[in-house]
Amino acid sequence: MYNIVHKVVLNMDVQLKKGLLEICVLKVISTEPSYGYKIIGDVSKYVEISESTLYPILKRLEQASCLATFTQEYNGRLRKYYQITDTGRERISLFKEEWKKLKKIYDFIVQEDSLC
Amino acid sequence: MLANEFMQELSVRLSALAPQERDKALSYYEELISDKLENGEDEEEIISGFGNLYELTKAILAENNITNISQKKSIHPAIIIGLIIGSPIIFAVIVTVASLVFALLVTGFAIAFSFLAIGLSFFIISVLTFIFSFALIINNPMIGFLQIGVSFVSLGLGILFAIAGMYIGKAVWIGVKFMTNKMKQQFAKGGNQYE
Repeated sequence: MYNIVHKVVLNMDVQLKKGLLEICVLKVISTEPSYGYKIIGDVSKYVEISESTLYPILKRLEQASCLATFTQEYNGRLRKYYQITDTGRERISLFKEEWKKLKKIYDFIVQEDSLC
Repeated sequence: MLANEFMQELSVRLSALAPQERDKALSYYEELISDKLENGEDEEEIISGFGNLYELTKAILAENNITNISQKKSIHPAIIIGLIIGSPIIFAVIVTVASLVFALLVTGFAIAFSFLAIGLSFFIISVLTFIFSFALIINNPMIGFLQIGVSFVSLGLGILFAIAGMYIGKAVWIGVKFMTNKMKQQFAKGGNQYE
């Protein structure tokens, strides 16, 4: 029984983290277009992310039209830049809304505990 | 692992992807490697920082809806050419070795069988000489008793040869079982390489 519960919690965390990372990446490129190495650096300040994790996230966001790409020359090589789209900005707004509700629930739970 | 090795391995493992998709993934990592090197990071550390290649490529392939991956170990083209060119000789060698092994086995069993046959012969001699020695004793005690002795010697020799034959037979049999087990292992291992 413990193992099943443990796995469910782990899987939730993985899904949760994936969702969080996607939003973090969108947030980072919402201010200005960025490139792989820089995105990893900026997101890492808030949540653990690796090169191998970032690539599928960028792929998914592009497929969902949340970001667009262009290439620019840098130091004699081609660098790929990722920039946010309107759909991407919408997704960030959605996330903020969802988590406002979540925060309400959290506040409620915390309130209950302090009464015990 | 060095960057070139990594990129080559990655390219091979992503061969299931459409060329465009594969190139995108490869450029992504090339770019990262260049940026990190520029930032003073160590090449080996960069590559090891990327983590397990299998997991890495599994994730990329999964994003492209490729979930059943068999990561075969790539065989160098030169080796394949060598095998094709050399196949007649290789075949001849295999046949020769197999024949030798078979001949050894047959010889081994033949020796074992011969020993058993000799042992049996001595037993028969022993029995016959024993029986007829009684008749001899009546006529010529000296030779009669000598024959009894001969019969016992034959008995002893018969037992020795029989035991020797059995041991040799057993040894050859164990040899056969050992060889077949090893061959089974080799084929099982060869199959596992492709999992």
